[in-house]
Amino acid sequence: MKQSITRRDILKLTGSGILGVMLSPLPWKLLDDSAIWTQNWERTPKLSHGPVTTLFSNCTLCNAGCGLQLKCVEGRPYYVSGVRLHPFTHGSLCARGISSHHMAHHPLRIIHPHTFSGNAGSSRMTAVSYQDAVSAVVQKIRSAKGRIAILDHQPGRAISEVYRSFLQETKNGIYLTSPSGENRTLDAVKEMLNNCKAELGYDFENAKLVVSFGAPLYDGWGIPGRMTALKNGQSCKFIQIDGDRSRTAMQSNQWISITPGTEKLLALSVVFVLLNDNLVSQSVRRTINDYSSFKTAVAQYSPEATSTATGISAKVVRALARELASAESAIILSGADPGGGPFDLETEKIIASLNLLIGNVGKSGGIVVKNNFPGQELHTAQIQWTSVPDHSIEVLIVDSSDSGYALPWNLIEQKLVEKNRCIVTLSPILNEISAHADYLIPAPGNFESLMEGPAPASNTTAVFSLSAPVLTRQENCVEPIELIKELSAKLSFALVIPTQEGSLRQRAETIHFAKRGSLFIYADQQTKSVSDYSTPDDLYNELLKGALWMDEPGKQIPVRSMTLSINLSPFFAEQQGGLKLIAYGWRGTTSSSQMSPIMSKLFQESDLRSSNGSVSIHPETAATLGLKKHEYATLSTKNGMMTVKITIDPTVHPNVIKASVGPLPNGAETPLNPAGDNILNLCEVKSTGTWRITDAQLLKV
Amino acid sequence: MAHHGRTTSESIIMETMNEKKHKYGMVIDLDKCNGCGACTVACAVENNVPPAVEKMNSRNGITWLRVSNVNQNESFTENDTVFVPMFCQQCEKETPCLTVCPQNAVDIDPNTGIVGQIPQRCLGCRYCMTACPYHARYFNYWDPQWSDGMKQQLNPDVSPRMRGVVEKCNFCHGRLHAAKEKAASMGNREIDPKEYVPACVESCPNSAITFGDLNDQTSVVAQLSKQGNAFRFLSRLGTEPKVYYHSTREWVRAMAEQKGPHSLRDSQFSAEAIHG
Repeated sequence: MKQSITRRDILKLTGSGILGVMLSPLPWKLLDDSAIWTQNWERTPKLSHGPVTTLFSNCTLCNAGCGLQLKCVEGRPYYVSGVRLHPFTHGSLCARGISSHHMAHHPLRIIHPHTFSGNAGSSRMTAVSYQDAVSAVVQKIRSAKGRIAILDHQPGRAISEVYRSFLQETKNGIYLTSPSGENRTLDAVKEMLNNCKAELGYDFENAKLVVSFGAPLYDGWGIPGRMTALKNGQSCKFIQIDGDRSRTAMQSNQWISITPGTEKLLALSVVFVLLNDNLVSQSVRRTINDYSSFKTAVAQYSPEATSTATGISAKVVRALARELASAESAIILSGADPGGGPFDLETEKIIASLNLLIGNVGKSGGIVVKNNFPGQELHTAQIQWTSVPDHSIEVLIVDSSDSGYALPWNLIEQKLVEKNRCIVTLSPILNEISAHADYLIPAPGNFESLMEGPAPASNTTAVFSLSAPVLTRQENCVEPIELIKELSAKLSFALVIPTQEGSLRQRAETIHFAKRGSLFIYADQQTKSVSDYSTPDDLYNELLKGALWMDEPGKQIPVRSMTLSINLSPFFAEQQGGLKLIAYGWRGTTSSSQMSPIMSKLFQESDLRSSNGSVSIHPETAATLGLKKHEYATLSTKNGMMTVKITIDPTVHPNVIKASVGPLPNGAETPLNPAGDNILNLCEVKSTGTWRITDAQLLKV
Repeated sequence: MAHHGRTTSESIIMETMNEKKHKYGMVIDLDKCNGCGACTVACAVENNVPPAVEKMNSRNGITWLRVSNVNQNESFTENDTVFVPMFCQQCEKETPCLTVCPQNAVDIDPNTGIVGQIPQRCLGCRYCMTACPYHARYFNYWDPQWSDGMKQQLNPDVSPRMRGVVEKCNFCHGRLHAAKEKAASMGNREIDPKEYVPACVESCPNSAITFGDLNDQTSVVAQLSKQGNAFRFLSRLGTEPKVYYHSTREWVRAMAEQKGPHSLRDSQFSAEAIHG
C-alpha cells in the first residue's frame, strides 16, 4: 500500500510539534532565562557592598543648616535623613536635603577652572589654569576704578569675616548678601531701631500669633523642620496674607486673600487702625521719635480707603489690627519668596513697623535680640542692593555657597559697570550666574570638603556647626578661602588668612574660651555644656563628628528709641489694570541653586512642582484668554518674551500669571538655561529692589 | 484533599493566611500633608529609582510614590485643595495585579501581607498596570541612568531594575530585610517595629504617614485605621487595600469613591473633573 505524505500531514506534524514544544518547559525556561539575562547585563549598575556605617553632619545647601544622618557603604553616603531630636529641625529634611549626597556627582559638575568669552548662552567656555585665572583677577582688581564686591550667600560664617577683611583692604569693597531671605523684616526693624548692631531673631516658640505677609512659612522657609513643628504643635495662631491660596495659606489657621501688589496698603491700613484706635500703648508711643509725622503719613490709608484696592474689607483689617494689639505675643513678617524675591524696601519697613508698634521687639514671643557670635565684631557694614549705585561694581566675586533664593541676572547687571568688568564665580556646578561670569573656579562639591554650617537668620540664638568631608575631593577644586588667600597674597594685602580648617578651629577656640552655650550631639542625641570640654580641640572634634553649638539666649532689652521714618510713594500708584506676572519658586530649586537629578520626580515625572517655562492661571483667566490646559502661549513683558506652557490652577489669583522660577522642563538637573529663557529675565527689577510683580501679556500661540 | 468544599491548594493558602502574624499597612492624614515632596524623593533614593531621562514626563516617569493635588472646585475663594500621596495600596483581596500576572511576578508575602513585585520574573506585558485601579505601577521605558558617582551611592539593599520591567512600592522591602537581618543577628525571630519604617514615613516632616501592623490592635496604625474619618480609595472594588487615608473634610472622603482615580495622577484635575 502506497503511503504518501500530503501537505495536510506536514501541517499536522508542524502544528503538533509546535504544540508539543509549547507544552514542554523549554520555551518558558528560555523566556525566563532571557528575562533574567537582560536584567543582569552590563548596564545594570553593580551595587556597593560592605558594612553600613552611620555618619552625622550638617546641611550646607541653604541657610537653614539642618542636621544630617548619613548611611554609608564603602564610605560613601547612600541615604540621608534628619537628626531625630535636633533642637531646631526635629528630624525633618526637605526633598533637596534628602538627595544632597548626589550633588557632588551632578551632571553639570565643573572640575576645572574655565574662562568665558562671547555672549552668555553660547558655547564659550575655555579651560584655563587656576594660576592664570587668579593673575587675571589680580590684574583687574589692581586696575579697577569701580568697586570690588563679594557676594556671600550665607553670611555669618567664618569665611564671611575673611571676605569682609579682604574688602576692607581693597578700600572700595562692598560686601553683598542675597537680596532676599528670611531676614528682610529683621533688617528693617534694625534700621528703625536707629541701625542697632545687635542680631535679631524670631521667637516663634513663644509666640501666640504669627502674621505672615506672603512668607512661605510652611514651604521651605527659615528652618523648615522648625516651622513644621510649630504648625503641628498648634500653640500659635498663623495668619497668612497671600495673593494665592498657597501651600502655606491652605495650612494656616486663617488665610486673608489679598490682591497681589497691595500688601503695602494693607500694612498701612493696619498701622492706621493701631494709631487711630489708640491700640499703641503709651510706653511704645513715647519711644517713637517721629510719631506725629508717621501718623500724618498714614492718615489717608484708612481700611475703608484701601479695601477696594486690597480686596479686603475694612472689617477684616480692623479685626486683624485688634487681634495684633491684644495678642499676648505676636510676630509680623514679610515675604521674600524664593523665586519672587522681596517686597520693595518701603513695604518691608511698614510691615516691620507693626512689630514695633505693638511692642513685640525685645520681648519673648516676638522679635528677640540674640548674642553676637563670641568675639565677632561687624567691622564692615552690610550693604543693601538698593544702596549700591547702578553700574558701580567693576569686580564681582561670587561665593560658592547657596542661599536657596533666586537672584535675577538683571539685578546683578544693573549694578555692574557696562564695560571691562570682571565676574568670578566659585561654584561646583555650571549655574546661571556662572554662565555670565568671566572666570568660573570650581569649588568643592557637597560633602567633599570641610564646610561650616550656615547660621539661620531667623534663629533666636547664634549657632555653629561643621560639615566634615565624606567624599573624595576633586583634584582641581578650590576652597573659596584659598582663592581669597591667593588674591590677598598677590595683592600684597596685610592680611593673615588661615586655611579653611584653621578658620573653623579658631571659631571653636573662641566658643571654648567664652564658655558659652551648649552642644547638641547628634550621635547620642544629648546636650552637653561647652564648659564640659577641657580643650578647644575636644570641642572641635565633637563638632566634626556631628553636633550643633547653640549660644545662650540673648538678654532682652526694651526698645528705648525708634525712628519709623517712611517716605511713601504716591497713593495707589501700584494699582494698574491688566495681567500681572508674579514669579515664585521653591527654596533651593531656583536657577542659581544646584539640586539632585532625582528631583525630577517632583518637577518632571509628576506635576507636584512646576518647572521653568510653566505658568499657572486661574480658570476664569484662562477662559477670558481662550487658553486651555497644557496649551502653549507667549508670555511677554517689557523685558522680552518666552513661550510658556499653561497650567490651570484655581488656587491662583484671577488676573495673575504665576510663573515658576524652577528647573527647566525635561531636565531637572539643568539649572542653567543656555538660551536665556529664564522666567526671571522677564521680571522687571525695580529700583526699589523688588521683582515681585511685572505687567505682562499672555497670548495663545 | 478538599476541606469544606475547598481544594487542597486553597486550604493550604487559607492555613498559611491564618498563620500570618503581620499585616503591614499605613494611614495617611491628608489634612497634614502639604505636598512638600520629601516622601517622593526619599522613596526614590531609598529604592534606587533612577532620575528622569530627557523624554520622561508625568505619564511615563517612575514615581513609586506620587503626590497629586486635587482641587475641590474652580472658585478662587471657595476652593479647597488636598494633596494625596498615591502609591501601591497593597490590596489584600482579589489583588488585581496578582491575578493578571502571567509570570507570577507579583506575590503576597503571607507573613507580612506585602504585595511584592519580582522584576526578575517580569516580562513587561504591563497587564498589571492595566489592572491596577490606582495606577500605582510603573514601567521602565528606558534603561536606568545614573552618573558614575551616583551609581556608587545606590542603596546596597535594593537591586536596580532595568528597561522593560514593571516596578512599584513594596513598603521598602530592603528595610524589612535589613530589620530581619538585624533581629536575627541578635537572636530574635521578630523584628523591632522601630527598625522597620519605610522611607516615606521617616521623611515626612509633618508626620502625616503612620506605618505599622494592622493586625496588632494596640498599634497606632490599627487604631487610626478604625477612626471615623479613615477611608480607603475605591473601597467599593472590594480589594481591601491596606493603605488608609484620613481627612476631616467630607469632600475629600467622597472623592475617594469617585470614578476615574487616575485623575489623581494629574494634579490639575479638580474633584469635579473626577466626577465627570
